[in-house]
Parts: sequence; structure tokens; C-alpha cells
Amino acid sequence: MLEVRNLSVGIATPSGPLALVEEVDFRLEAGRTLGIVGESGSGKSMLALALMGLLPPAARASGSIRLEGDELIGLPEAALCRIRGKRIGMIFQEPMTALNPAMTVGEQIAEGVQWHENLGRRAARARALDLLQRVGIPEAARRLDDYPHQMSGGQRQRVGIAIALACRPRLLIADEPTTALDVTVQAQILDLLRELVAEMGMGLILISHDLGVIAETADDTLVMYAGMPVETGSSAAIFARPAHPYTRGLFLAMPGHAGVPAGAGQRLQTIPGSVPEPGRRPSGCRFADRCAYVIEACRAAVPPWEPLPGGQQARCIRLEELP
Amino acid sequence: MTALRTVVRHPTLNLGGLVTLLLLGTAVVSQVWTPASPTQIQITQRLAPPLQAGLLGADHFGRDLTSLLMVGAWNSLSIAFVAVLLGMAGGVLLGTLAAAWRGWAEEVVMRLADVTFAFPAVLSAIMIAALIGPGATTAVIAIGVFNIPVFARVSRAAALQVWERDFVLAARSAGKGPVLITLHHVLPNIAGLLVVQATIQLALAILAEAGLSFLGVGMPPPHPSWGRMLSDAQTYLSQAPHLAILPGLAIALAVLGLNMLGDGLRDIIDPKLRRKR
Repeated sequence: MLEVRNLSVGIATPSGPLALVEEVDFRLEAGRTLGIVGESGSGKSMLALALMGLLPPAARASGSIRLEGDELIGLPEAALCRIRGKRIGMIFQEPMTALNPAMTVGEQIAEGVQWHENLGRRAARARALDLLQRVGIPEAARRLDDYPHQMSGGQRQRVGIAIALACRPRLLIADEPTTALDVTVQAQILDLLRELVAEMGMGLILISHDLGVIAETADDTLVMYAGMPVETGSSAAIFARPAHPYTRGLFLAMPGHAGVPAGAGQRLQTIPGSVPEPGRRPSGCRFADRCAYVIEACRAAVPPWEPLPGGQQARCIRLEELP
Repeated sequence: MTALRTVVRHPTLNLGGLVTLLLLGTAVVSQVWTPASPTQIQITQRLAPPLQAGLLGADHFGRDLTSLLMVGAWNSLSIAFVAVLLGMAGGVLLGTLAAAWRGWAEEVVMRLADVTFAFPAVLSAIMIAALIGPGATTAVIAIGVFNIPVFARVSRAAALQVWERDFVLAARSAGKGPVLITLHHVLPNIAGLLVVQATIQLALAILAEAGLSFLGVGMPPPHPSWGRMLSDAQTYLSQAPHLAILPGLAIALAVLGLNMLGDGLRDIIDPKLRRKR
């Protein structure tokens, strides 16, 4: 349903073009969830904006994004406006700020429907009520005329989901949808997203820095590091046998997961250093400067994809030599 | 009912609203009734102090000062109101569009605003008066034109902030273009600010109208005007100080009332301050 080929995002700076996201490839089928995981600065959000065609004015996307066979890159703004909201919905990180404080939640849900489907006020309001009930807001009829500030964080995120679903899009992009929420509310929102994907048969791209969130929700996982995917495959395979040193580092930094003894007194490991900024990324493997297994050849060129059993792939030339 | 209670509980808004309402009431009543004709000359009452001829005395032609002030309120308010409305319509249109489209459109609008600002308002009013003659239209155009850049700047700055907010990104991700986003998301979020700015501009416009009348480019005689009453009173300042004090007080009260109203309105228009049902 969604096919992304060799997608790169570059930004023009006074000192020349700068790559923010490079060589992203993935496929997403209807009814499935792809998790994109990475630290801050790994280009996850830029990737999401590129998929929506909402990059900042100075940034350019190249490569190919095909949604149900239609190429999105190079499409004029007016055509993109008809696709956004209608065929792609987006859920944002901060339910606090992603809602307009001067409009009732009902109006905000109904708005997209009125605009994309030319529905009358009354019909759009009925749809908004349906959606509000569907995303699990109690007493939906009464809450329809509430303003966002009258709702809790979790309820606002539910409203955000209702807005994204208003026109029954084929593809849903959720950029850190649970990061700003309490852990208990997080689980409820993830459950809701899982239910909706199964029920409506959409494709979901779930972006998160939280491996736990991805493990719980995603069928497939794409690990990003410094603007480039470094490992991809089914979530089951990656979570059972993380291959790339970066992915392994992420797991070792996480309590109670594969390979990490959860017992008391055990120290979690950290990955030394931080994600290099665009422009300061090493020329070969992007992870070279922080990798414990780095050799000279790692810095020579960007490592090609190395296939692993079960469709898993990792961009590392030393996979076989790793302990 | 809750809205009413919020209003009742707000002293600044109450006082400002009361003064403004009184002013408006006076202006409207003056169109149907005044204690005496504001144009009737009674030379026997010349420069009469308050309570000796009518409630507030009479001017150098023996005209009833109460009636002059009442009709003056109408003339001042109507000119100020139309001028601010004109300036607001033009300014908000330009400002929000500049914020929506950015780029060269924004540059052009803001440089035009700079040019207008650099030009002294009074000078241009005198020029317009020289072209089309003094009168209400001259005053409206002169004051209105200088309100355009004020509203353009305020609405652009506020709109740019709204454009940076996540819910605009959310609206864009829902497929809305710049015009719809401006109408549905930007305007409602800057409306409170604009109302406050409008009341303050209304106060300034009343001052400007008085200034223009004072200089003789406002409404021509015999239409009463606060500004011209002040100007006429200069000659009689020692004999009949009430001729200057009363119109001056009227101007000050109108400006103060509108400013307080603006402040109070800002507080209750903000949806975050609205009480839960």
C-alpha cells in the first residue's frame, strides 16, 4: 500500500546542502504496523513530515513515496492538500498543543470531514460524535462541545486520533503518540491504535524512541540512526536477535530486555557519545565513532544491507564476526 | 449565565464598559434629542458658566454646551469607529495573508507598512483635506489609512506565532490550505488580541479626530466636534475655563473608558479563562 524507495531529505544551508535523512526504503501493507525507532536527531520526525509533504520550506525530499500506487514526491501543494487528512492521517506527540484552543473538539473533528467530503454541518457533527465514541471518550455527546483545555492529556490524544481518523485514511502516521502521556494512559492509547488498525485495515507508521512501545505494537521495525536506517525486519526477529551494534546498544540500555539480566544490582549499559548532528556525520558507517567493534573498513563506505535469516537486514559489515 | 457572571465579577471591564456604554448612549440619544439645539445662537447666554444656562453653560456664541458635547460625542465616535473598522479590515487582511504566504508577499506588505508609518498622519490628513476639502470623509480616510499598518503588524506578528503552533501543523496534515487555516485557526486565535487592539485604536482615533478638528481639517462648522470646541476655547481660557475643561474631560473619559474596556475584554475573551460548565 505504501512503498518508500530511496527517500532522502536534504536542506539547503549557506555552506551547501545538508542531508537530514538518507536512503530510507520500506514497504507497508494495509492492516500492518511499522515501527520506526531511533534516538532524538535520528531523522524520525523529518521522515514523517516528508511522508506528509509538510517539510519546512528549505528542505527537499528526493526518491519515491508511492501511496496506493500514486507517487507523492513532486506533487503540487494543492494535490497534496487533497491527500493529507483524506488518505493519510497524522497523530502528533503533544496532544496539548496539537489542538486549537479556540475551537471545540467537535468542530475540530468535523472540520476535516466537511472539507474533504463536502459533508454538511449536521452530518459532519454526527460523524464527529461517532468518532469520539469510537476513540473511547465517555459521554461523547456532552464532550463534543468541550474545548481542549477541559480535557485530560489522554482524552486530548484520543481527540487527536479521532481527528486523524475523521476521513478514514488508508495510512496513519503517529509521531511519538504516547511520549507525552502517563504510562497507564500510554498503554490505553496503544491498545486503541492496535484495535483501530485491525478494525479499519489501515497501515500504521508508529514513530517512537521507546523500544517498549514498538515491541508492543509494531509488526515490523525500522531502526534509524543519524538519518539512515541501520536495521530492518519483523519486530519478532529484531527483538529476539538484534543484529546491528547500534540496535544491540539500544537493547542493552533498556531494563529487562533480550540479553539484559533484569536482576537487581545489574548496571544498564550506555552507548558512549551522542548522535552526530547532520554535517558532522562520519562518511562511512554513521555509527562508526560510537561503535565498540569499529574497524578501518567501516569508515571507508556506507555499509550495504546484509541479509539475515527471516527477512531481517542490517547495515553492518562485521555482522558475522560480532560476538 | 456563566459568561454573565464573569463579566459582573470583572471591575475593570465593568467600569470601562459602563463609561463606553454611557458615551455610546449619549451619542445615540443626541441623534434624537438634545436639551437645546446645538446650532442655536443665543448671544445673551454668551460664555455662561455651568448651571446658569443649561446644565453645562454656553459657549462664545451662546450655544448650549450640553447639546454641543452630546452631538460631538456622536461625531467623534462615528468617525473613529468607521476609521478603525476600515483600518482593521485592511490591516488584518494584509497581516494574516503576509503570515500565511511569507516570502515576497510578506516583504511587500511590511515595507508598505513601514512607509505609511514613516509618514506623519497629520500631514497627510492636511494633504487629503487640501485635495477633497475638510470633512468627515477626510478624517475617516486619514485616520483609517494610519490604522492599516498598525493592524497589519499586530495581526502578522500574532498570526506568525499561531502558524508555529502544532495545531496548525495538524490542520495542514488534515489537508487544509493557507486560506482555510487563516480563517479557521489563525483568526479565532488572534481575535481577542485584535479586539483589544481595536478598542485601544478606537481611543487613539478619538484623540486623532479631536486633533484634526482642532487643526480645522475635521468636520466643518456648524457640526459640533470636541476637538474644535477645545480649539475655540483657547481664546476664552481665562474668562470661561469650562469651555476647555469640559470637552477635554469628554475626550479623556472616552479614551480611558475604551482602554479599560479593551483590557477587560482581553481577560474574558481568552478561552483558557472561561469557566468549566
